[in-house]
Amino acid sequence: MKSARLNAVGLLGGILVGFSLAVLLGYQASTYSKPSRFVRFNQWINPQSVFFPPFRMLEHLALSRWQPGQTVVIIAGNSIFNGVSQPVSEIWSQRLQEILGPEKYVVVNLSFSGGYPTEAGTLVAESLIRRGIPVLVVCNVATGVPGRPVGSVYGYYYWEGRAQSALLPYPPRDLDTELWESNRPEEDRRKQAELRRAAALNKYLYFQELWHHVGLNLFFTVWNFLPQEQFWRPRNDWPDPEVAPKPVELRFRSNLAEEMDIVRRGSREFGVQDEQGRWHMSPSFRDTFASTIHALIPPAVRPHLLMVLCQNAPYYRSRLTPEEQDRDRIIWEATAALWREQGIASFVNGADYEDADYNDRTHLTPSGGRKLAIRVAEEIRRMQSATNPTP
Amino acid sequence: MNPAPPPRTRLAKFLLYVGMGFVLGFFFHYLLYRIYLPVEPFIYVAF
Repeated sequence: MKSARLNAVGLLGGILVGFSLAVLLGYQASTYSKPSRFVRFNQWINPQSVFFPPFRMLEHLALSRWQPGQTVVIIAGNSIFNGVSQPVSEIWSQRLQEILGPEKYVVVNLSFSGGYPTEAGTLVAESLIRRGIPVLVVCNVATGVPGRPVGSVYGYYYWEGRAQSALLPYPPRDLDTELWESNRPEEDRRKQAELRRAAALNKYLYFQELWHHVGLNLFFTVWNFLPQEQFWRPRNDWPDPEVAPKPVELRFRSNLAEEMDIVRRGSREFGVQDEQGRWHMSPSFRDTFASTIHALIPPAVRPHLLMVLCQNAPYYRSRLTPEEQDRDRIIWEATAALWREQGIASFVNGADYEDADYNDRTHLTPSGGRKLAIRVAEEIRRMQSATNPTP
Repeated sequence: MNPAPPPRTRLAKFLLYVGMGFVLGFFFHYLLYRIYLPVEPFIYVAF
């Protein structure tokens, strides 16, 4: 064989071996890789700093501390349940684990800032249900319908879960996402196609698992405005940055008009008044809500879900007019009832909290988190007997 | 007339290409991660 041809064969062979070894290492990483000392997805290990934890990493987090006889309690949802405004030592999900005890329950916080109840943690729960592992999901929502599992920054979880056949087969959800996508602008459709392609390739090639593992433990390769010049530092080296809340007299100071508008919209858009002036949930919203839940949440998942409607801080609600307060109370309770009508446990949280329990309009302080943990633990125990009779 | 390269040199060159290929293989795997990283500026309005 001529020297040039031999060298070309050597180069191609080397590429094949190098690539295959990377796939093998990625596969191995998928079985053990997770953030060290994991409590929650803080800003160093979430998409805010270009770290996109793969679906398999979330699965591993949920299963790594689980033992037969225990129920996995997955915390899903957004920054409220992520524990923003609670230092890691005082985060509510740790309190929940303490209250529930380590014998029968293992609590894992898979919530993300800005996350929807149909994304990430809830999809991981589907994977656990498929495997026959006892699981409950606690998720926070507000009034209104929940967002889709695709289209947001966390939409890649849906495509990864689907590509890996980890999700329960549910044609209405497939149809809903297809319809949504077909009505989006060309740029969005391209983006979804790319996410699908990435998920399909990653199913076999494990590049997300390997390079996120490297980013956690060795070095990170993507510049980002949060770590700036230290972007290369492994993400496991960064401490959870959440600090204790401000003194209560310094809270709720900014953007009062905008915040009040959000509080009002939370009930105004869904309520109608009857002839006696009493507020009710609008019938059209009731229909929209039922069809959305039907489209997005498989029936097999619903008994495992607990939707916690997190009320706004009393500082804002007390500034509503008496009529608005009436409407607010009725619509929030009616929304919880709508979830229950769909076979999903739900309650309104925070209606009796004090200003000291909130750091801003929505995020709970450690004292608010403790109250939340107590209430959620009660519901978890009640749901436990209905869904997973084992423990 | 140039003398034929000694066998050790050819082997070393071959191994060099294998090594380069090995690094490239890893790099291509890394490229897949970078290509599909959904990096874009976004701001959370979380509630």
